Amino acid sequence: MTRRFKMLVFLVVMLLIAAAGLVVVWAQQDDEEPVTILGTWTADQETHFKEVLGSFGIPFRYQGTAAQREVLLSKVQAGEPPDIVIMPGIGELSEYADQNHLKPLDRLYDPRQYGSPWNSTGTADGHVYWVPVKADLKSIVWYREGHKPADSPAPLESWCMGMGDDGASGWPGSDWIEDLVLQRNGPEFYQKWALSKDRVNWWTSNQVRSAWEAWAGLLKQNRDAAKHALLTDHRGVAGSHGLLFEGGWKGCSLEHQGSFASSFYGPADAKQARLMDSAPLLPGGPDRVRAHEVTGDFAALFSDRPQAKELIERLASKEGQQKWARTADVFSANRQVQLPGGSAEREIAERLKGNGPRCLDASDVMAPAVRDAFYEAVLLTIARIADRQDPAIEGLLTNVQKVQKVQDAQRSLSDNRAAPSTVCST
Amino acid sequence: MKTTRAVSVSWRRYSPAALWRRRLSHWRTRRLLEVHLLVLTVCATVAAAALLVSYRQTQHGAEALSSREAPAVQGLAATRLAVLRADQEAGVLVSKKLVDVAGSGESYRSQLSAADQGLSRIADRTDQDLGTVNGLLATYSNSLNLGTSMYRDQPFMQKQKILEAHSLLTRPGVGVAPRLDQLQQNQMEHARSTAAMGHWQRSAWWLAELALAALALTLLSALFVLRDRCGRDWNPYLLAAFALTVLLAVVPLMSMSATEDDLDRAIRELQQITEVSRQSCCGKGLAAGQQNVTAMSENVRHELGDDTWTDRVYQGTLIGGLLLIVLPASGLVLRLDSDYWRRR
Repeated sequence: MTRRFKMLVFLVVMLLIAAAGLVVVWAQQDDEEPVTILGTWTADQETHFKEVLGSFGIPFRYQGTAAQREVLLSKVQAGEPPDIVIMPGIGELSEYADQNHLKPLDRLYDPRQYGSPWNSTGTADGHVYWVPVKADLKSIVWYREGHKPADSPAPLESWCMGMGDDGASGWPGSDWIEDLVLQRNGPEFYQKWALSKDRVNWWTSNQVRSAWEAWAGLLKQNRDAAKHALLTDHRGVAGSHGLLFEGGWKGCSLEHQGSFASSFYGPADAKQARLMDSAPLLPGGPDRVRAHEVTGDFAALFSDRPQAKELIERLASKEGQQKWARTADVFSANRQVQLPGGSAEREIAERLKGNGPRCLDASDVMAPAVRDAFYEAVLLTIARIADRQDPAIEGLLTNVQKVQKVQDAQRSLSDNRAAPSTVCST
Repeated sequence: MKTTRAVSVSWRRYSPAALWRRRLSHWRTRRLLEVHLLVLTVCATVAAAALLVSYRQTQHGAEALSSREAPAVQGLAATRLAVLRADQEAGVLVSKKLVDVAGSGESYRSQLSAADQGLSRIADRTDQDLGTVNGLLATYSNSLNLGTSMYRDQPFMQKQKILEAHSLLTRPGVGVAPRLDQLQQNQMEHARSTAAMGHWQRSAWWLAELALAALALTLLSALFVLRDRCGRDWNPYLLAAFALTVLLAVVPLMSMSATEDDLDRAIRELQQITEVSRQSCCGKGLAAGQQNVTAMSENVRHELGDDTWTDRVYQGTLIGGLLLIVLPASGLVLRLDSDYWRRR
């Protein structure tokens, strides 16, 4: 072989290698479609969450909306679900899992890092379909620093209430009812009601009706304030500092809202916000604290793309959760994560991780149809009271019970393998 | 007389022809013609290829703008206005207590339907994710329908649903209208980059024009050599190629320039459409904004739709490019063949 020929062969080989490299890079680029994520967080929390996701080095596209349940349904029905969805509604997620839309998260995170009631090991088929990526505490009342209320039921005028939301209006009222049911009857009853155990008519039971009537009694104290609550967004006017600091009923000083409410207040006002247990302040009380209602934003997989799995794995890991908690001052259900350190935050962390019983938000666990009927019944209660009508609670609860029965019947026909079997930690 | 002769001698010695003759003097005629043949073929091939590629790109940009980008921007603007109009019409219905009047909700329903269909039409013209807006629009529509139908007899529930719908529509950053606004901005950016001439495209045009200039000069040189050394005054092939070179240097460039002007104008109008839809939020301005957007959209469609002549120019460039390669080669090959190659 001449030298020139060898050079030629060498050049051809180099060209082939370069071409193959280009093809590989090209193919990889095709495969690196961003992971699509649909979540509930908007505004500052969205910015912080994107920051955390960005640090994982996996291309992603996040869309945040409060009307996420409806948006998700429309995407699923259009055959274009996001790769990952993050939502509080376990009831909804279990329906998607039953319809085989969700992929199991087995081995993508260590369930031992997540305590009860957030981990979903209770699902009937043994698979794990969701992991909590953010935890929040309910059964608390926010007040402004220096305005701590007495440990007794507060009049309606003291409460900063807003029932409005994008598409799921009424849930702040359902939190009141759930809290009343929990503090008056304890976790055992609460769990049975939330899961519709043993097909008992829990909605029309004395316990639920009396809790509902107690809340209606509170609303009847001032019909104008009730009207204001009905027509006010729970976040306050866009750009304001939440209901407690701006935009609530005139003179109100208490807000029955989850730990996430501090994100509505803005950084400066959030420092002035203090919290206490809601039980002593609830109407018909004072009650003792029987348990804390908690909620979580759960991540679930709609696709089995490796990038999506890796992103969930990173997010649910101790490191991912720690980063998320530190970046956005949010709370994690991961027991190994150190939670943010302000005084209010410490109090929340103690309740989230302490020894007391905790129960998931009942409406998040219920089937979507029941949950929607619950929210609507809450709105109707306030609207009728504001309109000086009889709220006709008995009738409202009977209607919700009817919806519940239909759901129970449907569940008995399907294998219903993904539904959680517990709601409260013991 | 002496001065005139001196000038004449000087011209003969320093004229461009004389200079070029001296420059080529050490080449043999056959080799000279063969080199000219090679240079002409290379220049013609490069010029034709660069011209076709860059013109095609310009055409592609125009096509993409008229078939995808512009309709997407117009559609998003129209959808945004339609959904705001639906909200306005529903508000009027409630405030004037017309909810119970048969057929009174037709106006807002038709606007909602227009918005819905608008989004469906946009879906295959954009790479952006419309799923969230679609879902929000469905939720908005649901709230509005609850407010105007189911709760028509319960004023507070009705008001709550209408407020919920309004919040879904307008809440900064997360409402339907702000999201459509953002989608519109992104689409506008996309349209701008589609219409603009990129670095590669600009370079391809420069390459084409430079290759055509080199081709023209080489053709002149070939004509000169044939006249100077072979006694052939005008080679028809080379003359035709020269004329074609001039045409190809000018016509596609003018056509491209006109297309770019059209695209710039279309982009300006799309920007105006975007502005009008963003500024029209309420009151009578909304209906006027809708009419404005419709009129401007028609205009843009007309401007971008009239592209038959650019197709003809492309076809002409394609045929011209082939002739540009064939003609000079034929002229010189025939000459070389009859004078040298056949004699070998």
